[in-house]
Amino acid sequence: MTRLILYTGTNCPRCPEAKKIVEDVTKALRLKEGEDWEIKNIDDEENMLTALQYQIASTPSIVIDGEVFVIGAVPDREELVDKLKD
Amino acid sequence: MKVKHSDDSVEDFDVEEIIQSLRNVGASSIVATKVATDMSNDVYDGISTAEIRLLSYKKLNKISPKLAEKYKYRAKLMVRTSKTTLEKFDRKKIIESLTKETGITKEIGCKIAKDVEKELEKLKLSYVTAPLIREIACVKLLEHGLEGERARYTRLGMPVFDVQSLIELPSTENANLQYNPESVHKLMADQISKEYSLINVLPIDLADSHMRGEVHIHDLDYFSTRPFCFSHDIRFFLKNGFKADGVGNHTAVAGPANRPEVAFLHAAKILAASQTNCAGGQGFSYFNTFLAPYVEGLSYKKVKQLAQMFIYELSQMYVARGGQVVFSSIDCDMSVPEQFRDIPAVLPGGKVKDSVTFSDFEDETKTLFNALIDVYMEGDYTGKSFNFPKFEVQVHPDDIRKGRNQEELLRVSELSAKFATPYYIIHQPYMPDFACYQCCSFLMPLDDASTEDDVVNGTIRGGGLQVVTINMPQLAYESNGDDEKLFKLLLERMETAKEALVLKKEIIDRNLKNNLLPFMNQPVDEEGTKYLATDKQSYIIGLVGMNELVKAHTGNELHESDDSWRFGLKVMKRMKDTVADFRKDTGLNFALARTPAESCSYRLAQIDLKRYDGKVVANGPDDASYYTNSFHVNPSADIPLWKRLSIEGAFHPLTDGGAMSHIWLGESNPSPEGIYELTKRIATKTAIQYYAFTKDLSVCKNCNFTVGGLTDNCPKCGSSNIEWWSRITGYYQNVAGWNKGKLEELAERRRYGTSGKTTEIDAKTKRKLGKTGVNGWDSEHDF
Repeated sequence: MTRLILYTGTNCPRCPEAKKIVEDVTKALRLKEGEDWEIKNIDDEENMLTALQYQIASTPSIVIDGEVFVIGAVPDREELVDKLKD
Repeated sequence: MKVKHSDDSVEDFDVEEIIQSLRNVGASSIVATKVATDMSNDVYDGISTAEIRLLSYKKLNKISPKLAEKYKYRAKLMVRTSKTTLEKFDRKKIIESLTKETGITKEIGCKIAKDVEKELEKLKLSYVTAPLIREIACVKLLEHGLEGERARYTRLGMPVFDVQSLIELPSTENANLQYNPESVHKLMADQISKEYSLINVLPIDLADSHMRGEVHIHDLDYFSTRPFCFSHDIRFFLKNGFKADGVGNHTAVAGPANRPEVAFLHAAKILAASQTNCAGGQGFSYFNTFLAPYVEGLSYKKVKQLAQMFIYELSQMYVARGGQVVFSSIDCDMSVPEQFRDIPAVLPGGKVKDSVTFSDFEDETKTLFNALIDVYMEGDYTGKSFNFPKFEVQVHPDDIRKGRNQEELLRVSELSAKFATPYYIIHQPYMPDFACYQCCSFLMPLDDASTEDDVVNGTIRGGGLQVVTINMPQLAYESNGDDEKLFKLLLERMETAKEALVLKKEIIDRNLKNNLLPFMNQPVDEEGTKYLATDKQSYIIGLVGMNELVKAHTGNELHESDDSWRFGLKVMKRMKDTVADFRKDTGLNFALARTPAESCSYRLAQIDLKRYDGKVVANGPDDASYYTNSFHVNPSADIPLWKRLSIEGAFHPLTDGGAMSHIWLGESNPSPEGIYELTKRIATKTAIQYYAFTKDLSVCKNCNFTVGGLTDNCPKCGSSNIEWWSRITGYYQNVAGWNKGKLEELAERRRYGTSGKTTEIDAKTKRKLGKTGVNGWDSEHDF
């Protein structure tokens, strides 16, 4: 089951940084992209509707285990590690 | 030979005039000439017109008694004109007015005027009035198949009985408006103005769409004259002084305020003055930040006095739009907003120094903020809460995360717990930098309306020009479960709304050109830029009943299924995209908003019950059926608060013209700390951009004590003479003035405690609510 979803946007200036952190952290925790975590572009309508149901309307945002972890901000690397270790 | 008229004027005797008057009653040319020639032998110098008529009558009577009677009747037929004069009946006047006002040919006009005359003769009236003649002429126009011409020729107004009731019967008092001479005039004028909009301004297809309840065109009584709401920048007036009439011809002209008292008084009067030009709410953005320099060096007591003076002014100037208080709001900051920190402040006397910026007034901004809260907390002299100006607090999620302005937010929470006065504007990351909330929760993206120069020069301003609401459930009734059909119909209805909004632009452009709106027409700079520019205003499309659309279309309400919720979001997204297309097509700031729907949530459900028998999904019993506001969750849904806020929160980012959510409080004394914690959570964990806590209030009319909840007796003096107050949608109002639909909603609202406990009001109170309210769907404001 997908544990983490990173929502990005096409013209989102902070998304590459968020993506890098997510990639680093998931790699260290041996989480597989496509299985344990995935990236979804909010500019796609279906993704946008799902994101909205999580209260997400800005990027980058992260949902972990069905709950919002960060909205419209780059995640803190350590906090992300702690959360995923839970 | 001279003839003397009854008004003592003198004229030459003209035999042709006599012949014509005889011809007018049907005498043949031979008879008329004979009578006129015969009688002219008896005419003497200085003869009166009455004697001439008598002579003519006698001569004619000898030839044809029937025609003579007709002549006599015509001769004495006087018309009571609307110019308060008595004038002799003159067919020519009917012809002139018919051709001028309806555009028909003189020939048809002549025919109709003759018919009118014949009709009058049949009636043998002792006197006629100009309105009666017009009524008869209208019937004759219809008989000639001239329906459109009839609509242009008709009079607008009210039955005598209704006017008499308004003036003489206090029992017809509309709880929204006090029974006083101003409100009587307002109600009369509203009627004419509304009819005029429907009959002569809106094209028939738009008027019909409104009548069929496909769309609701708000404030029709002001449609032809005024723009809707406006947000002002007080710095403009602090720098340039204040002309209440916009030009200074009819009122005294004030220079820039030097003293703090004057600045605050100007602030109150600015909103009253602009209200005379607008239908909807008037407000100030960044109110306490911009006025902070004026309280520099003052003791807290003095600052509080200024705040008190301002709030009292706006709660007591009972002069707006025919005897109402100004629909006012102030957007306030807990600290100087980032974007103004380095902008030079306007100082007493209207001076500006580059070296003195708003960041130099951080303490004063906070002091004024706290003083305003203290005044709101105390209530008026009797302890009653202030409903206006609406107190809107700017909350930045980042401040909450970083622990900034905690003390101020806690004070705001205390005020919410006591009177539920504050409205919370949450600056979500998806929102524009410059945004203010106007009227009943319309978001004004001031970025679109204002330039960098406006930010620096003190002319950040903007407003909504007009609101049109789409009846969402109708789309579902019409499309029978077919998505494609539903979206197609949605587009059609939105096009209708667009047409009405573009028409409103033309109207306001014309009114500005004619200087009908002098306050809004005043120049803001040397280039002559107008205070209100229609191309910078918002053109608002609202919605009502998304919940019922979803239920009718998918089988479940928003809270009953995540898929239904998602479908609602999909519809909303489609609306947002359409509005964006409208923006592109027209170059105008179209916006999608949550309409407060005071009248139309009830009106549209009532219309649909008649039109869609058996198909209607609405809340409450038939006579009080209403649609759920905008995209809100059914007020009666027994679900946890957080679920409710999440469902609604998902819609907020799609509502670029402003959205609002409500938290109906069930506790009479909620904990301020609980409200504080909930606020922090809403601001950081939801997408909600604007909301308020609402606490029902009972105000004792005997001892003026105010208590939370809807109680039967005053807990202080025991009196049962109690008024109930609650937030109708965007402001507090006495529930006695609510329509049946809104009262049903009030009865059904699921109330929450800050601890999460949900409650509903007891059956006895529900029954009592069912027996109050006003007839019809009108509300105090048709926002």
